[in-house]
Amino acid sequence: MNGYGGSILRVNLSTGTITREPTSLELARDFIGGRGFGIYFLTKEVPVHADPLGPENKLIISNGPLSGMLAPGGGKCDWTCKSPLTGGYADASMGGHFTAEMKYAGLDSIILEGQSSKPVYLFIENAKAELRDASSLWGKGAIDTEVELKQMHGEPYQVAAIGPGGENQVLYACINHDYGRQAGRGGVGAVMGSKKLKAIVLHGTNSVPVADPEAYRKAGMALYKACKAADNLADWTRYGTTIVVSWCDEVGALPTRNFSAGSFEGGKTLYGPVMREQIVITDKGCFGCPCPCGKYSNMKRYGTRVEGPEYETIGMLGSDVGLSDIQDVAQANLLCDDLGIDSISAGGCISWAMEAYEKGVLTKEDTDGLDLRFGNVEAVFTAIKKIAAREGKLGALLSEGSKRAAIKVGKGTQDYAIQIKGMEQSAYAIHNATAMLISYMTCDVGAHHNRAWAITYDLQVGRDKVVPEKVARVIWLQHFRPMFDVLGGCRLQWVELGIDRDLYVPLLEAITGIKRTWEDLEKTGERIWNLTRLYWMREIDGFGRSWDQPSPRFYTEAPISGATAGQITRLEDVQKLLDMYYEQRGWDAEGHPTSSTLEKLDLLEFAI
Amino acid sequence: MVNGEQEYYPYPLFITHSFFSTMPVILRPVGHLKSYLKDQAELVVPAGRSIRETLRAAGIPPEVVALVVVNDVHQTDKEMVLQDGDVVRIMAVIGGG
Amino acid sequence: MRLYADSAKCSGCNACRVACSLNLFGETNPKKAALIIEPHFPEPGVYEVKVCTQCGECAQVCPVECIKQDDRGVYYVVQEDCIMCEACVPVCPEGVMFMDASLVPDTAWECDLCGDCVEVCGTSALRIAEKETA
Repeated sequence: MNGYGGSILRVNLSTGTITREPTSLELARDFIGGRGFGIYFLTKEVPVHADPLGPENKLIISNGPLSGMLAPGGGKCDWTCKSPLTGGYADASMGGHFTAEMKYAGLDSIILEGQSSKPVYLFIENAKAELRDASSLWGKGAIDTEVELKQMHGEPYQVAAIGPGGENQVLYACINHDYGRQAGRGGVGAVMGSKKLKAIVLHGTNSVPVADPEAYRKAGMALYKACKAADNLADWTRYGTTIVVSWCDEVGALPTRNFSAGSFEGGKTLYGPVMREQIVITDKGCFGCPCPCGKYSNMKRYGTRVEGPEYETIGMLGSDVGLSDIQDVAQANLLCDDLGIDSISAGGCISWAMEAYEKGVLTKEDTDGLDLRFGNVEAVFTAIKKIAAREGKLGALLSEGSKRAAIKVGKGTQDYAIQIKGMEQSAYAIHNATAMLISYMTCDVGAHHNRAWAITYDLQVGRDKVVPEKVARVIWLQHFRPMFDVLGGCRLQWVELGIDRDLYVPLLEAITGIKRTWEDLEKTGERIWNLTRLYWMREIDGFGRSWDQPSPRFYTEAPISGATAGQITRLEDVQKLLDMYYEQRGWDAEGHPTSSTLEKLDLLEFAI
Repeated sequence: MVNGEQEYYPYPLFITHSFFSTMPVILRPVGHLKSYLKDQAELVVPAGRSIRETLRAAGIPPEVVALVVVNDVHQTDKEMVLQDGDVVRIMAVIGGG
Repeated sequence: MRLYADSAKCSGCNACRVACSLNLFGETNPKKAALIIEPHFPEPGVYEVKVCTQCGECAQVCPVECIKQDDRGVYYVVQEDCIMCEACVPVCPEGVMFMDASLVPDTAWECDLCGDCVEVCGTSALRIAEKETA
C-alpha cells in the first residue's frame, strides 16, 4: 500500500496474543493516518464508558503517510486513548525516530489492548513481535530504561518507555523516547502503565513503496529546498521554541505564578539566547527535520543533561512556579522526563498548589512539610518526585491533576486551577487574547495549544476584539494544524519557516497515489474534529457548554503587573465567543454537532 | 592584526567617517513579517530611534515582532536605540509551537 | 572531490540517509544508506557522522575490480559485477562500505557522491569539496 507500512499490529496484553491485519484502503482513504486512525479505532473499538485505566481502554499508536519519508518533519506519531486525566478524548503527538521505524517495520498502527498481569515490554522487529519480561526494568526511570534496552538490542532500535509516573498511573504520565521526546499530554503514559507495558522496542528494515517514485523524489527535494531557503531557518534553529520566551514575556503571554500574570520579573534569565549560551550543547532533531527545534543541554550545576527545556516547560516549570534560573528549570524538566510525567501538567499542578499554599489553604501538613512557595527550587524538585511516586499527601493530591485536587481541597481553589476539561493549560496566558482563549476553550483534548495558536493573530486584529473573524481563524487552524498529526508529520516547517503549504500537495499525492488538495485535507480535519467532539459526548453524561469554560482567573482577576496589568476578558465576551464558535461549527447552543452538520460531514453513522 | 602592524585603511579617514555618519539602518523582515513590506526585501530607515519606534514608523506593529537581531546579536529590549549602520533582522511567530 | 561531515552541526535527523537510499536504490529506507549517524546519548550528547573519504582502499582490495572511479575520480560500485565477497567491508577505515544480504541481496554499496544528502541537510553539516591533501 503506497506510502503506508501496510499493516496494523494488535497486541492483547491480557492474553499475550499478537496479530497483524492489513491496513484497510477505506480507512487510509477516509482517515489518512495518525490521529485520524486514532479516533476511528477509539470510537469503533473501545466500549462506551470504559475505565480509562482498565483493560477495555486501548492505546493506539499511529503514524501517517509522511512518516519516515523524504518529507521535512516526517517524524511524528500520534498516541490516542481515552484519557484518564479528562475522561474524554486524548491524543499526544511524539517526535523523534519511533514513527519512521514503525513504518520500516511495516506498521501504520499499533493497538495495545487488555492488561498484562506482570511487567512486559513489546519487542518488534519487522514481522516479528513478542512480549518479553520487563520485571527488571519496572521501577526504573524512562531514560535508564532506554539506555538498558538499547544496550541489550542495539543503538538502531527505537525505544519508547514509561517511567515510574506511568507505572504508578499518575493521571498525566507521559511516554518518553529518544532521551527527551514525549507523547506528553492526557495521561497516555498512565494508560500504558495500567497495561503493565514498560516499553516498546522497535526495529524495521523494510522500504516504503510509493505511488510515483520520480514525482515523490522531486516533491520531497522541493520541500527540503524551500525549508533550507527560508530566511529565518538559522534563527529558528538556533533557539527552537525558546525563541518566543522573551516575546511572551513582553506581550503578557508568559504564565507567571499560576497564571496570575503574563510577564515575569525574573523572566530575562529564561530567555532563549541566555539558554543557548549557558547550557545548550547540540541541536537535536526529529526524523527528517531540517529545522530542529530540539536543544540538548548540559546543566553543569547538576552534572546532568536533558533534551530541552523547550518553551512550554520553561513557562510551566519556570515562570509559572516562579523559577528564574534556566539550569533549575532544565533540571526540573529532566526529573519529569525520567520519572515520566508531563512537564506541562506537572507545572500546572505544582503552581496551583503553590498558590493555595501561599494563600494558607494548603499548609505544611498537606505538603508533607514542604515549604511550597513560588520560586522554591527544592520544593519544585521534591514535588515532582512525590507526584511521580504518588508519595505522601502532596503526591497523592497532585498526581490526580489540578481539577480533581481543587475539587478535593475546595475553599475556592477551583477558581485558580488553570485547566479546561481537566487538562492543565499549556504555557500561554490569555487574560487578554480572545482568539487564543477560544482556542483553549474548544481544544479537543483540554487546554492545549497545538490545535490552534493565535496570539500573534490576536495582536494583529486587536487583542480584546470579540469578532467572528477570530473564531473563524481558530476553526480553520483547528482543521489545518492537526492535519500534520494526521499525516504523521510536523507542522513547524509551515508554521515557523513559513514555507508554502501547497508544496505538500504533490508530495502527498506522489506518496499515496491519492490526490488531495488542502481543501480536501481540511474537510477531513473537520470530520475528525466533529468525531472527537462526539467522543466526549459519548463518554461524559451532560457534556456540553459547561465543559468549554476557561479558568475563571481569565475573566475575574486582571494581572496586577506586567504587560497585561489591569486587562481582562469579560465573562459575557467569553460566552459570546462560544456562541459564535458553535454557530460557525454548526453545533447547537450546548456545543453538540447538529444532525444536519453530521449529515453534511457524512458522519451520521457516528451520531450519539 | 599582527602585533605592531597597522591595519590597512583603504580610504582617507574623513571619507569613511562621513560615509558612516550618514549610513542608515537596514530593516530586514524574515519569514511571515515580509508581508508588511509588500514586495521589498528590506527597508532603509534613519538611525537614532528605538527599535519600537522604527518598527512603528515602518508600519509593522512592534508587539508582533518576536525576534529582533541587531548585527547578528539577539536583542530582547525594543527600547534600544538603533545606530548608524545597524542591520536589523526581525521575525514574528505565527504558529507558536 | 569528497563528502565532508561536520558532526558538531548534525542534529541526527537522518534526512541525508533517506535521500541516500533513494539515490542508490530508488527506495525509501535509511538502512540502505551509505553514510552513518551514530548518536551518543544521553552522555555525552553528540552525534557522530561517518562518511566516505574517497580513500580508495575498497577498490584496491576488490578481486573483481567492480569498484571503479567515475570521471570526477569518485569511487562507485558497479552493482552487476559485485560478487558479495565482502573483502571491501573490513578495509574501509570509516566503516561506510556496506554489505548486508538481508537488505540488498546482490551487491555491496558505498557513497557515489551524488550530493543529495547535502541538499536535504538543514543544518549544513554536510558539504562536498575538493579533497584536502594531507
